[in-house]
Amino acid sequence: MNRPGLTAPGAVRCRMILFVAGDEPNSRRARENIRAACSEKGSKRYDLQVVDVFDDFQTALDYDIMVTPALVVLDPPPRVTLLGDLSDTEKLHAALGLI
Amino acid sequence: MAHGELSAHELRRRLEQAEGIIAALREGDIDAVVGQKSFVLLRLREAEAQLRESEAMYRAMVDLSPDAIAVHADGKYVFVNAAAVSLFGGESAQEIVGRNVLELVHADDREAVSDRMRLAVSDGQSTPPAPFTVVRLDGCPVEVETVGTRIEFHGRPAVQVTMRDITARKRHEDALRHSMESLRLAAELAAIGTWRFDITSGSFTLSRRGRTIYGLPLEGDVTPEQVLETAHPQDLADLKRLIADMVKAPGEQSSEYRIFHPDGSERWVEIKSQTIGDSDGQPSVNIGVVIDITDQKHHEQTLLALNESLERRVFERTAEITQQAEQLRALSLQLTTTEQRERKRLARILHDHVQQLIAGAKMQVQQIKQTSDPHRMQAIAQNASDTLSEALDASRSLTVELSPPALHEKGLIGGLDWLASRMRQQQNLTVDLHADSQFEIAEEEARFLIFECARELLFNVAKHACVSEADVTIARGGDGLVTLTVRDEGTGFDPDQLSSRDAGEMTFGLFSIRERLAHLGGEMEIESSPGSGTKVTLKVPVYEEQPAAKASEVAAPRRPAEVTAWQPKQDLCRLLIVDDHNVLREGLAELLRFESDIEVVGEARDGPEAIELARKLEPDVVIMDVNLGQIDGVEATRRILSNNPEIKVIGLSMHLDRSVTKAMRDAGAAAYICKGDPTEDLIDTVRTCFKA
Repeated sequence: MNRPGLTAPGAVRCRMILFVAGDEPNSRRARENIRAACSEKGSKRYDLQVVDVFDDFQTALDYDIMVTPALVVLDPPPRVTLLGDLSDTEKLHAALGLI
Repeated sequence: MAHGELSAHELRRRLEQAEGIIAALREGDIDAVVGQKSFVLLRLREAEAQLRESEAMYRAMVDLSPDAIAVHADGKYVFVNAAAVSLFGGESAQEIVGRNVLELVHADDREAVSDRMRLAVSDGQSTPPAPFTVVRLDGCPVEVETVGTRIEFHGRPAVQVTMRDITARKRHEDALRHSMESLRLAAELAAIGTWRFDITSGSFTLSRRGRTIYGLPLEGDVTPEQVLETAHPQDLADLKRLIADMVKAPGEQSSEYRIFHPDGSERWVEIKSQTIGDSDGQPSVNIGVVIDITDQKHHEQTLLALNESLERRVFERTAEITQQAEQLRALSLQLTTTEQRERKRLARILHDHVQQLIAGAKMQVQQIKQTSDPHRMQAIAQNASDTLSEALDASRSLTVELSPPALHEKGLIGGLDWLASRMRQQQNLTVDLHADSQFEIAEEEARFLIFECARELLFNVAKHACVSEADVTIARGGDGLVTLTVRDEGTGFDPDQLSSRDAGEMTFGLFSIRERLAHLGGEMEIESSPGSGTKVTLKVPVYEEQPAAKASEVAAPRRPAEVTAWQPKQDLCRLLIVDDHNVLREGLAELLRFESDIEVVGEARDGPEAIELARKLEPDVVIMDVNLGQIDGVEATRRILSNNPEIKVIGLSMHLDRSVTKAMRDAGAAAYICKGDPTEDLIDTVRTCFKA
């Protein structure tokens, strides 16, 4: 699920996929946390795809994701996977290359 | 590297991934685990959140609990709440956590607490509430009630103990127990039995005193039915109604009823009870007291009987008094009527006879004034003298009837003698008088009373007994009572009918005697029956100061005037006139003034004056009136002659009574003449005495 509204044109591209399980508590908090992080760091261009395993668990298998919520940062490389509700802001920012 | 084998890098990556997953799982950050064909939802985080929420609530509850809550593991406190800190007298939990549990338990209870701790830990059982004494940090003992439950505390087996301070409760319980004991003692002392009946459960307790009152066994259970069985059959229905009220609704009940003791004795009890309702207003408990009121009932019944007896006696007495009052009223009426009748009779005698005679004499005297013919004058004077003699006779007769002079002059026996002769003359009744000739009663009131009673009784005989003879006996008993008996052999009557009879003449007479005797403390007995005569006995208490005085005076040696050798000192007779009647005395003096051989040297009005003048003047002759008051003519004569035997005394009286004449002669009088006698007789007697 592409959310073009969240990307800023002309900025450094950051491509990632968030795997969630419906509106389960951790998944909901993970969505909220990643959006908050993206809006704070508006200088970058974010390309976020959210995959709900309820609808599509094959993509999760493709990306070798075994638990949700999980954030896979594809670009810039190397590929980083964060598990959990992304409440650890420091770890999230590091994964996004913001620090 | 063989197929299927992972490179070291891949292996490391997978290991890291696994570690990441494990860490995320541990943190509860995972919602779902994605498998090869499906996914598994994990809600660990939420469960933990709920757990944490519960734990927070538990913490809050424990912290805020008013009961002391502590957790101990391996025999040591690992947690205490604020109330427990307060219970132990500490300021913070740190002062208690880490301490040995038994260290803070009273030495007496350590073994028991130790057993409970072991039981809770090993068997996992909750220990039931039990009282123990714990020791505060300052060493003071505190009574607590504890409940223990086994729990896991930080993964270790532990015991959570709830402790409640029961010092205040124990104090209240002790106070209540003391109060109840005092109440029980008070009830025992006051002889009040108590019961408590739990209407809901049916349990019944009756105090020791209550059992004694009902005569039930002092030991063992007692049922309400046993109490009910003691009731008197006649009171049972009422009692059952009362019990129905007790269990029906909250309220108060009371009753008095009879019971039987096992020995068959009947007792009275009073019960008062109150039924208390529960929160819904339904009757739950009945509490009551019972008192033995047998003695009180007996007293009430005795009092009632006494009251009835008293009322009956008052009624009888009232009836008696009413009857007496009625008799008195009738008597009073009759007395008034009699008095009026007597007044009329006396007035008539005075007016029709005495006054007419005096008026006639006055006119004759007037005639004397108007006549100059001496023969005529003499004749008229003789007529006047005759008329006055007749008036004197009439007046004398009246006086005798009103108050017999014999009674005054000769005492009671003399009076009774006179009465006997009077009854014979006027009523044709022969009275036989039995009395000691020396008998006398000095007390005038008693003497007159006995005389009047005798006259009344003899009149009754004359009027009702239909006989011509009666006996009168008078004597003095050893008990100081004078007994007068009047007896006849006449028709008689039934004395029992006397009080019920209408107030007839005889009844009145007897009633009058009885009342007058009662006034003096005397009494009257009547023995009579129809056809067998009547005997009436009067007993009069007479208190004589000198019972024999009069008799001794009478019996004193006397000096007959005739035998005295007396010589006149000179030819002139010196005369002393003694009379209490001024007109008569002065008249006599005036009459004798014209006699040349007689000189009136003095006049005396009473006995003492006569004695005094006789001593001073030494007269030759004394004309002595018999009726002089306190010291009468008889006594005065005796004293004058005692002082001077030379003096001649001539007795003078209205009445020519033989007994009076004798009394004067016995006293020493030389002669006795009557006031009605011709004046010439008096003058002659004076001369005779003077010359004798």
